[in-house]
Amino acid sequence: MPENWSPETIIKWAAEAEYLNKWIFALLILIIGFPLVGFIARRVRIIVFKRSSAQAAMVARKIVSYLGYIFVVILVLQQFGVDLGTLLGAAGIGAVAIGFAAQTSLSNIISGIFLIGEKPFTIGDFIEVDQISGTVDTIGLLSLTLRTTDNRSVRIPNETLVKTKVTNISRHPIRRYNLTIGVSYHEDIDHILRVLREVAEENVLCLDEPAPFISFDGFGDSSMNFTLGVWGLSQEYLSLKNLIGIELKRRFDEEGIEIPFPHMTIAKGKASE
Amino acid sequence: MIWTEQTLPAGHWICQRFGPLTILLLNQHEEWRVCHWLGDEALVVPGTGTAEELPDNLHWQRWDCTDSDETFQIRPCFPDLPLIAQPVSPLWLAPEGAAQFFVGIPATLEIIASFDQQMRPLIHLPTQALTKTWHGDRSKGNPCYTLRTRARRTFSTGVWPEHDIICVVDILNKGESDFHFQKLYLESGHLGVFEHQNQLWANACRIRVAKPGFHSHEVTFSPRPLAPAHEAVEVKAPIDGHSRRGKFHRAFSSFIDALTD
Repeated sequence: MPENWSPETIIKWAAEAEYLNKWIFALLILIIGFPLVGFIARRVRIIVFKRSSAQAAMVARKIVSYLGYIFVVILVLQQFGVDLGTLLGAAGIGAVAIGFAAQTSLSNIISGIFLIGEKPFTIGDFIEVDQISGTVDTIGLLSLTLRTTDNRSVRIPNETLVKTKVTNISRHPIRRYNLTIGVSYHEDIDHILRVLREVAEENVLCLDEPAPFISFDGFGDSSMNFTLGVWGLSQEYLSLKNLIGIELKRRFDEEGIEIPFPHMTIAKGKASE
Repeated sequence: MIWTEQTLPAGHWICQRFGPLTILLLNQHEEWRVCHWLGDEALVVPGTGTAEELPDNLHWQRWDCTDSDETFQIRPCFPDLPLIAQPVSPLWLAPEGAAQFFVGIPATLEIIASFDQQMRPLIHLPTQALTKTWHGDRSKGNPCYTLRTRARRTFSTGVWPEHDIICVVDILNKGESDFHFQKLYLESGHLGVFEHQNQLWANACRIRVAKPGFHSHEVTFSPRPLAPAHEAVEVKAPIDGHSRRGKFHRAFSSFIDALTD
């Protein structure tokens, strides 16, 4: 409080007090605003997670956070009389400049939004992208991270996911494993078909329904070719793949069925001789 | 078969056979040890003995206990997945027609033993290797076991082995058209296991095939097996408890959701 109550002193004191109030108010906005934005963003993430997917929840949280923090900063700047029109104009010019410089990042962000809408996979799915397969670990605004079967972490930009073929291997609960096998021309086809069917029936990982698929694929250069397609649970796919091949070879050996290697007969001299 | 609690003093073992399954249980060094075989390669030993008589190369599964723990129990229960049973031949049920089937389900054996005087489960062992099948379409459904022995219209002794649990299923067609019964989807949550004259039984299950407009067939369970096992003794209570009338339509709508045609 001023000791001398002259008009000049009072005006000066009032001006200083108003300036202090602005600082205090701005500080309050920051202290309350940032945690509040964080809290709202977390709530949004929980709500979106319940109604949608994990990646949509994560992106929604980030969007709410970024917008919220920008809003808090604008409120603070307003306390100090910063002209928002000028600021937004400068921000617009800056955004254009940044946009040119960060086309790839923006493309990744937009691709990420498309992926969230389309939901071709979720966290935990086993997918194959560009001949790289692995479990989806994280999905971000710019990229996703795959954990490969040999425990490498591979970062794939969202733009790549939109542009290339993505195979979701674990989406459906059951999968079919196709084993192509060639047998000697000396073998009896009915015998082969019976053995293939029995191998499928006796395998505990092979599902009875959908029924195993057995087909005669045709006459190869060195062998008659067959395909045995067996269905199994997705989580047991690798075990099924291993077991069915091992059991089939063992059974072929027991039954004396020959699996020929590729061979070619070369005759010396003229064909007419 | 002995399904009640038994005593196995420290340093002793017991070997029991249940069809193709052989179980060797040993109580030694403050541990419960279990070794099991499914098939003909089981260790050939008498019913019980001391630890020194056993070979050293057995692959044990071990659980810690105290030196005063001597009590164990082997109990029959249902397999861990739902089951698909097929009748010996497909059957057409006329409207208001009824049919009774006897379904043999290979029991899974639960070994429970005392741990510091409290009974706790050690392991579940199937008496027979069951093959899996899929119930539903290729993008949505659930895995089940296929029963190799088919559902029969009549009961006769000697058809089912001792380790099979016989479940009687009554089907009543309340629909307005013929019902083609080809296979049965069974969930075992409300089925208990009973014993009658050395044969295992389940409480009976009644299915009313739905009228048009109803979402699922109506399934009820009797508290006990039907004749000839109506005097059977309960060995294992249902996992999901006994059913209560009046609530079954909601509670059991998922029990049997498909009698596919």
